[in-house]
Amino acid sequence: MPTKCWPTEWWQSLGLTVLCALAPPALAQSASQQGVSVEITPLPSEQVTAFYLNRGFSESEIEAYRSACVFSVILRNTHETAPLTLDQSDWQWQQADGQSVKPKPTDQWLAEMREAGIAKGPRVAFRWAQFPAEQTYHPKDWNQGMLALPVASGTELSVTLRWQRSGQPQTLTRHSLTCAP
Amino acid sequence: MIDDKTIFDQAWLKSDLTSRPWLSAFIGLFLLAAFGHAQAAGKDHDKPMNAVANPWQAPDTTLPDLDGTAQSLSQLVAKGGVVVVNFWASWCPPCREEMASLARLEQTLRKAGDRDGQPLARVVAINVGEDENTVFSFLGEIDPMPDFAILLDQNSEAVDAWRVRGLPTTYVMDGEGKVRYRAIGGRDFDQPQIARQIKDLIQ
Repeated sequence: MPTKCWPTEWWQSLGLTVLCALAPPALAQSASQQGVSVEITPLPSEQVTAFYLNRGFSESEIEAYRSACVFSVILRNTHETAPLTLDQSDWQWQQADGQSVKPKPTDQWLAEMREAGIAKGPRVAFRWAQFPAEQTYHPKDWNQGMLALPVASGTELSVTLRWQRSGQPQTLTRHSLTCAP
Repeated sequence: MIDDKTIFDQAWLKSDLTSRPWLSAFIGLFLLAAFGHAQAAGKDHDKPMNAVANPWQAPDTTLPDLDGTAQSLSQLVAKGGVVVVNFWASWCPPCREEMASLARLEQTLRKAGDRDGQPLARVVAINVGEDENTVFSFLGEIDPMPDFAILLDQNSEAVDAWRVRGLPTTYVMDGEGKVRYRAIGGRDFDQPQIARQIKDLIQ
């Protein structure tokens, strides 16, 4: 099971909180509030390339994706009882100058890959490696996946994550996310 | 060791409780609420897989296993069994992490017995998008090696029919083929509460 800063018991919570507080700062940003825990990590293009080469893509086939700004996102519903529903298209990504930017939807990537003649196997792997566009998370549910923004490496971004819980909108904002080289 | 301050605090509380009955009532209510909350939290903790509010009929799923033989989930259910259906891929980190505990869950479920030679509860893992060689090679790394049915959903037909949106996702079908539990994201299937949730569905 997840071994990162993620307690399942109160005594683990105490221990891990101390450990996490002592941990050196990393590129990953994690936050937890309102019964949601999020970890956003910029992925270097070499790492992205290696992952998709192992899934059957050629270098040229994954070039467009690896050139984008790719993040790994882990989101968990840590609430004791209430589910949450999210639609990734509601998330708001902004560059440092205030300009909005949106991740290219997975369906669009897949359509372009189909047109480019990329085989079905790699496309299926690509689809399931992306962070879900929509999902309902009951307590203890979580997902891990990638998303890609059409900006250059080194770009600094902020993101406001939005979701609905018991019919009420909730948000969590993270700043200073920098696209990996 | 009890120090002066502790004694002082206890004396204060004792004198206050006797002289102020409303405080006693307040503390009583608070303790009751705290106990209720702890019970509710404990209850939730006892259910690592989420109950489906409106159980839905699982889609009829027929896929090839690793030997190329077509296997139908509805046939497994027709034999009266509870089926844990796990959607996974070998490149997905939480899928890899939970696979050994899923193999141990299968071993635990076997002890629940059988009916006419068919297990009362079993695990079926549906691999999404990979070929036999990749799956075989991954399974060889798992200890214990899973010996439950592995089906191949190379065209994502089953994963779409089941409305899966992320891997891994695990469902539990009851003996009537209705989806009763769901878990999105990896789980530790060694948790005894999971085996209990499944065994409770056995008719």
